[in-house]
Amino acid sequence: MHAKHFGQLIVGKRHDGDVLYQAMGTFPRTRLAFRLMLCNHCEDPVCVKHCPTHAMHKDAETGLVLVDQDRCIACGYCTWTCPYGAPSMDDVHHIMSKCTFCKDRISEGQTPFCAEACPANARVFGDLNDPESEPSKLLQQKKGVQYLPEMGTNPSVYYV
Amino acid sequence: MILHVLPLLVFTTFAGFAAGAYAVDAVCGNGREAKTPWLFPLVCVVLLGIGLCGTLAHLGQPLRFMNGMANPASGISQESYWAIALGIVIVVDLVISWHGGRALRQVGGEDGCGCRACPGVYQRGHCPLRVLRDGCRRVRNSGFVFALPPPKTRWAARMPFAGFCFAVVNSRNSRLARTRAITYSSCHNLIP
Repeated sequence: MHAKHFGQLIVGKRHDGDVLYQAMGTFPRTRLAFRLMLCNHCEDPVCVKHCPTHAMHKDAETGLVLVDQDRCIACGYCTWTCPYGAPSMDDVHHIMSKCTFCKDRISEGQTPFCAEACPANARVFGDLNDPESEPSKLLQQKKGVQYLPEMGTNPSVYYV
Repeated sequence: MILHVLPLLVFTTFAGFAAGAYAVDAVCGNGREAKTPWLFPLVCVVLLGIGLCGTLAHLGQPLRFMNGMANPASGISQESYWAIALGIVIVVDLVISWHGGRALRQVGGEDGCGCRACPGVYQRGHCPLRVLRDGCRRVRNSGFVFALPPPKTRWAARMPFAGFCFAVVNSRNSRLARTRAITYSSCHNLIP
């Protein structure tokens, strides 16, 4: 079965570093850049490789990186290994949690909440394997870059 | 933050103590006979037990700890395998020592470095364990591995601490933490 490769395109400059907000530009044209904390749903996710329980897995049908919370032992190894800091511990239920690209919504043909709610339409969501999808067209028009590509995980989120 | 990693610190420290002390005693013990040979494996198994309790305390779902051995490619799973194997060796050693038999203590340390000096002793046709033990002694006596002063000295008594340090520094978690510290900023995952 050919796995879909859902990806998201972020319109705007990517900024490096590990801080959530970062000042960019030169005075007087300065602005505050915002780094997204969403999961990059990598092609070769390091969290899946290092999860001791196989709870963190890559869905064969959609290509999404998901966590099976019934198997997870909440060791936190995925947060150590993920270069993007995507998995986060649910301190109430003591279980690992992460961005799922709102898989229930996309299975119904809708877009994730973050893309739906963005007032500037700065987030574009779609199937990167489909050349007619909106993110594929944007990637053809503009040069998209991945965040931390040197980590070798081939993330599915691009910044243009 | 320190409280968050305290269970892991307990595991690394105490399991490292047990593994390091056991391995170094196997290499540097020089076959000394203790009055209470069961005491050393007993202390080691207690240290390892405390360390494993630290592992359980680290898990958010400790009752599912068996799931943590499902992926052999994971560092945590590998640590589990080695800790269990070490625990089995120590328990067997404890039982044998308790009954006055010859301790298995040298097995763990010899399998690592004994084979490096084995070609000569293979010709003697001894059993594999004896070959390993002789090889280990050759390595040790040549000073190739530890360049040690003679056993039964203060140095020899302190070598378990060196083994502990070696085990801690080379533990998988420690290496991963160092890699992360070098590669990323330490505040990477502290962003809420």
